[in-house]
Amino acid sequence: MDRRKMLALLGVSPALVAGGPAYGRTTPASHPEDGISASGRILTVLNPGVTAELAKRVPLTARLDTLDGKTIYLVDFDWGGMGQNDGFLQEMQAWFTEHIPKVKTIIKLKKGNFVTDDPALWKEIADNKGDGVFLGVAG
Amino acid sequence: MADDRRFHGVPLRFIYTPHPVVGMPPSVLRSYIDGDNPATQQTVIGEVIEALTKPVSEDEFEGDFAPASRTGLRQTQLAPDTEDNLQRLFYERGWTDGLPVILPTEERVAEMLTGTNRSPDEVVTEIFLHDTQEYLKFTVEMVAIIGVMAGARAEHLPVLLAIASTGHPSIPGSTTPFACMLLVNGPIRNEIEMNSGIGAFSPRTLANSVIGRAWTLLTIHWGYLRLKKQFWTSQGNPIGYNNMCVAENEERSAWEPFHVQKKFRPEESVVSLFRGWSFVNNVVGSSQRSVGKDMFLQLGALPGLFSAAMLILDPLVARHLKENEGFQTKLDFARWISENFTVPAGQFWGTDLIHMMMAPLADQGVEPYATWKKLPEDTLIRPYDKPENINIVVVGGETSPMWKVSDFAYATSASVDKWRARPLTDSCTDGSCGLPDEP
Repeated sequence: MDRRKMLALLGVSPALVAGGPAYGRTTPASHPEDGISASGRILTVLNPGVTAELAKRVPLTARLDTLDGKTIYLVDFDWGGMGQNDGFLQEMQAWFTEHIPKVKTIIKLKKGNFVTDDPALWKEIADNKGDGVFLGVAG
Repeated sequence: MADDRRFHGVPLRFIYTPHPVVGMPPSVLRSYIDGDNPATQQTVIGEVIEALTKPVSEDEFEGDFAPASRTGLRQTQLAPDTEDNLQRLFYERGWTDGLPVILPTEERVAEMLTGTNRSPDEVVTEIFLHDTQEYLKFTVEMVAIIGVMAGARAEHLPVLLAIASTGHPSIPGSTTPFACMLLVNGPIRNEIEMNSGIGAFSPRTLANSVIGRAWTLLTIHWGYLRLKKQFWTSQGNPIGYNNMCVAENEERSAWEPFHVQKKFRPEESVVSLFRGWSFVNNVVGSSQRSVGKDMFLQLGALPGLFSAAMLILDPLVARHLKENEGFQTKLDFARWISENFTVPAGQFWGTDLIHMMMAPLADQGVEPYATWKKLPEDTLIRPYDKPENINIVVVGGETSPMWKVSDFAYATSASVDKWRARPLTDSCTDGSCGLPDEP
């Protein structure tokens, strides 16, 4: 009787008596006759590295020549979900007030969680002629 | 994913800050702003200003896979070298999981490719890297190379191709310890001698080990472990070594297989992927409480994000639940969990992950979250309100009524059969895989 069938009839999981690894074939060991150890032999291997294509992209809009007189929106995408994660943005706003007082910064909370779109907010920024947007902060 | 694709092709300038940000006092946040971007060592505020003012250049987004990406030429072979040097090269290039690999010689890759009837040049999946705005096209041959590196055999290749076709990484980019699980259903399990019985999750079975390992090597080659670019996990997760790769014990299960629940035919071979962070073992049996009540203790340690949980039951447990407690199907038991497991509303909403991902839904009026959000903190809620999101699979060797409870959510399933070379003989229908051939 086939050993596996016998064990199954006995209700014994064959893995209990399996003494070897779970593959039936073995690869013959190479036995170099040239005196070169396996680790010293020269091998040619295929390259596992991948190629990539840069995505076709919408070009970035031209950058601002200066921040003086500009309006920059600091948008909180509510990473922590607390609705109160604008501490970082408040500190950034304070930094600009101290160091570049001629830039106007406006803090806004995006609706939804960090992956949710908020077209109304983007429209508001565009309608108010915002010059730039800082979106953050995760972590 | 729809939002993700919509924003592809918009090369935003990313700036990394030190972590954590949420909950830190103003003085710390100011130090982040004045301090360095941990990825570039340039000041954060300097990079913010630069992002707004530095003129855009044509070569701004060169990508991480140049120069081949620009020339279109991919060097198919590496320079010949000794095995020791090649092992060191692979490790230093970040192509490994830290362990030595089987070097992908042309002969080994050719042998691996006999495991499929697909052309080596066929594109299996395209991966998009957000930070470099690059598409990686991963071919059948590339998957075969990875399979060789993982120690897989040609008969494993259809499973690897099915996994690769999903494009799902085994280690998603995050500062948290994401982990994934890989489940195989259908005849392929026995054909390639996967383990669904004793020690199925233990490091003992070739197929379970190399298939799980190959998924992580694929993930590495998809760019997900580029340090401080996509790879920020603060502590990491050891599950990533083989991703709990396992076969469901369909032959000994009291219930229908997982892939059949997902509307595949029983005779189809399928891989299913799950994603989460943690799992909890029970240690001994459950004689003082019901199995379900014991599971509640473990579920209480998990977030219950969008009702997702994974219950991995030994066949003894599944049979007990069906024959002694009357749960005729997996969904019956999932419904019981859904209806009976409760937590205080304050405990639920006090979990950062829940607040991050689900509080916005409550704010938008999505039920039942909107109602839950208004409840007093000590009011009990049933967080697993969607029993269909509680995944149940049967794995184990029936030496003890063991189970595992995890927060893994179902991600996707993919057919293995479309990648086969030819139908294989089902040589192990009695669940006795793992034995050497009869002499």
